[in-house]
Amino acid sequence: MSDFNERLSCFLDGELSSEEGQRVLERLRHDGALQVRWERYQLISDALRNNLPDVAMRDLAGRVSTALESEPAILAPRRLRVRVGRLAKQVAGVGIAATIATVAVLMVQSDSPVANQGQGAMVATVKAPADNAARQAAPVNVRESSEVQSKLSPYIVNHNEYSVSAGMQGMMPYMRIVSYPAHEPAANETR
Amino acid sequence: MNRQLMKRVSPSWIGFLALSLFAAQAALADGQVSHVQDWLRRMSKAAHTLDYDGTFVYSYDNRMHAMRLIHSADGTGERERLVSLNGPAREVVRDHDLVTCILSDNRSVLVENTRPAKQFPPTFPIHIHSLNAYYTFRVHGGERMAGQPAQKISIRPRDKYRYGYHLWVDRKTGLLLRTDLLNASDKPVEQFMFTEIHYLKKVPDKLLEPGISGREFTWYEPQEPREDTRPDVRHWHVEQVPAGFSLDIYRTHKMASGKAPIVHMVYSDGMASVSVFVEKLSKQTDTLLGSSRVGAVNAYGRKLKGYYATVVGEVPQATVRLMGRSIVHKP
Repeated sequence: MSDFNERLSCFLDGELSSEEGQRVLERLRHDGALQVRWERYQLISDALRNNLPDVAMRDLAGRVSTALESEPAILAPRRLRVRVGRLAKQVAGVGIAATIATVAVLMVQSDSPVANQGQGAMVATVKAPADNAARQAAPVNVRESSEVQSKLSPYIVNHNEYSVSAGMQGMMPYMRIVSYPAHEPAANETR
Repeated sequence: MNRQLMKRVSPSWIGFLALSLFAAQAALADGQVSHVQDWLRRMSKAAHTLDYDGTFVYSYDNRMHAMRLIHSADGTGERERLVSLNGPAREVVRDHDLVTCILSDNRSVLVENTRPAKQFPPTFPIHIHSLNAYYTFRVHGGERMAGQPAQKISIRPRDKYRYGYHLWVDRKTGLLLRTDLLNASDKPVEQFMFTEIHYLKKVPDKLLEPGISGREFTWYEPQEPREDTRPDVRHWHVEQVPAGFSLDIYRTHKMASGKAPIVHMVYSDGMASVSVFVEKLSKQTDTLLGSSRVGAVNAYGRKLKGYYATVVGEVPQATVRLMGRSIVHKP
């Protein structure tokens, strides 16, 4: 079953081939319990992205905690492309004056350093320019496994106690230690 | 899409509008900054002074985790308990100056001293005006979170060496109800959101006791006498740090898990913090070399002439690597 859960998450992420996707859909159609789980996945994903209508919000707490208690590993689907389309529609739908204003805002924003951060706009260091680091910002092989995480724990605890965010958020930074994937030496995750 | 629109509009009009909007934005930004400062001050105070019991979801990458957080404060200090609701049973308990992490699947318990609390509640550490060079601040409208009216605030970095934040703060209590930590392309690196929150007059003591005894687990505890000294002579230095970061703390400390004292340096830009740990390399040292990550925490490990350095912080990988590579020893 857990194997199928994984495929369901992959399907939500659009990572399955169409043939595999068909199989998932087929099973969804016949399996009532699975349909409920599917709904939970969607709900949790929506909850985090704050896409829920107010009526759904009212009942959310109970539903999310029930869902989470019964799910050992829930993978959230990504839905990032939708927004671009929605924005485009909104822009197309408004009057010409508003359109000009939109263009102007877009220009102002793209001139601000924030929008340029991807190009490494503001590289500054204590002693030497960090151009080399800026160039290395591209793909790095970042390891992330339960083994890595348990080795890091003592450092993270010490860091948490002395960091600015601890002052602002109290114990929140510890959620990272609590949420490590289960420690099973055999199941070494690679990402 | 935008390019098509631009063609239809005369350039001078765009220039004029852009200019006036820019002026308006600048004036607005100043007002925004002091608003943000107020909200963050409230948030910081609420985190340490309220009694509450809440459930939240935490997610990063494709993972999702539900947790319960119980917090209590009185004249003597704080007690907190963070409990995992799904997956392996894990808890973190804070009892005044001790933090205990009980990790049942590791069969281990990690105990550490907290930062010495000089004053209670802790003072607000952020001075927004000096942060203006590195972040932009914005107050948005209201939204509902965990059934409470919440105020949304954005903090965006001006370069790629720090993360951005969307914060939702309870308008009545000031408690942080949701955070999205954002990378340079504005995508969430991690998120947490309360789904349920109960503010209490006084949290019952029973709720603050760990649910797992951990008696049969391996305990890693800080050695006595407690080693946390601020040496006058500093041998370790980080030569390259992103603009705005400076050394906050330089201390030597015996970690619960290790025998030899380590040097712990904390760098901060006032908003984000990066810790640099340097320890003597021994056969027992369980090194973690290169880049690794836990949620929004990036880490970088390297060996240097008989020593081992670990850089850890809620900052992008580029920052921990830049700092990690420029660590030097000056006798």
